[in-house]
Amino acid sequence: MPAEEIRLTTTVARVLREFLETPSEPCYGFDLMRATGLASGTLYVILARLERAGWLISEQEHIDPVAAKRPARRLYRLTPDGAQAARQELAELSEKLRPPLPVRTRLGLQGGTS
Amino acid sequence: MSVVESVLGLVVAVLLAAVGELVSDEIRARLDRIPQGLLRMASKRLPPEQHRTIYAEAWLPELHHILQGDEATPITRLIHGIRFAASLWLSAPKVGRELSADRAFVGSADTTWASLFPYGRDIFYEGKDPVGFVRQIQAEFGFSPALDPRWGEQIGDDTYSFASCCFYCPAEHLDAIYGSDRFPMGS
Repeated sequence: MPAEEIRLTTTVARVLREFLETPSEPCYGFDLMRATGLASGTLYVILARLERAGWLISEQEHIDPVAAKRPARRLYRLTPDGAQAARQELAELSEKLRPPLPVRTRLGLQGGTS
Repeated sequence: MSVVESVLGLVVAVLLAAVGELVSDEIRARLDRIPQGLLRMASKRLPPEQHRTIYAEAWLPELHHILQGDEATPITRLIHGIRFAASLWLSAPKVGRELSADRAFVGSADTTWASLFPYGRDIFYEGKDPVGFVRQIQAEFGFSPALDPRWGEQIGDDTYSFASCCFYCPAEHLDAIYGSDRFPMGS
């Protein structure tokens, strides 16, 4: 299923970049918060948006809470379509945000005399 | 100083240390309730149908990790816990809105739950007759949700607790069980 389009803000880009570091590895919410520096309220809105758009899936981790002495946490993982879309969107964003060449270099490239 | 006084002093010191530790544990437990209470308040700002999926399954386990995890030191965990819960309190309605379109999303095009979750997924029975549900699924689909070890598991803290009817649903049955309106299901 192709992923829906997502409006790529810088905060969304930070989350996607973190997922793309290890695309096959699922992430916990709190670990994503620490890695991206985003507040929980910001992060979970983004995760919900990405999940609704089909870029992410979430699932409960498979542990025995009694043995682990903690509740099962939710894991988030990029879908294959989501990973592809994220790579493309981040590359486009990076291109848009690339600073222009310095004026002197541009003149040089245009064949100006020195 | 007599021997009796020395022994008495030692006993008092040990008693004071023990009482100090008890008081410290008491304070720690009470302080932990601040972020838990905040998170419960945040959960009340979610649509009721997302209470379990967002609050109990996503937020509460993360708060538990913050408060009880290996790296949890007393002051840091309290600060992290309060920040975690307070920020979610602010954004809970927004999270709810983002996710409420989730079910409408599937079925709108050629999308099926099986295509979204080709390996199956964990889902929840949210009705009032779990025994009847198990019987019906067994009869119609040939597997028993009650065999999942998480079926009937008690979730939550002391003040907010419920029996969870979680089970793994194979991909081939997702649309018939989770995606139809026949059963009261959540994820």
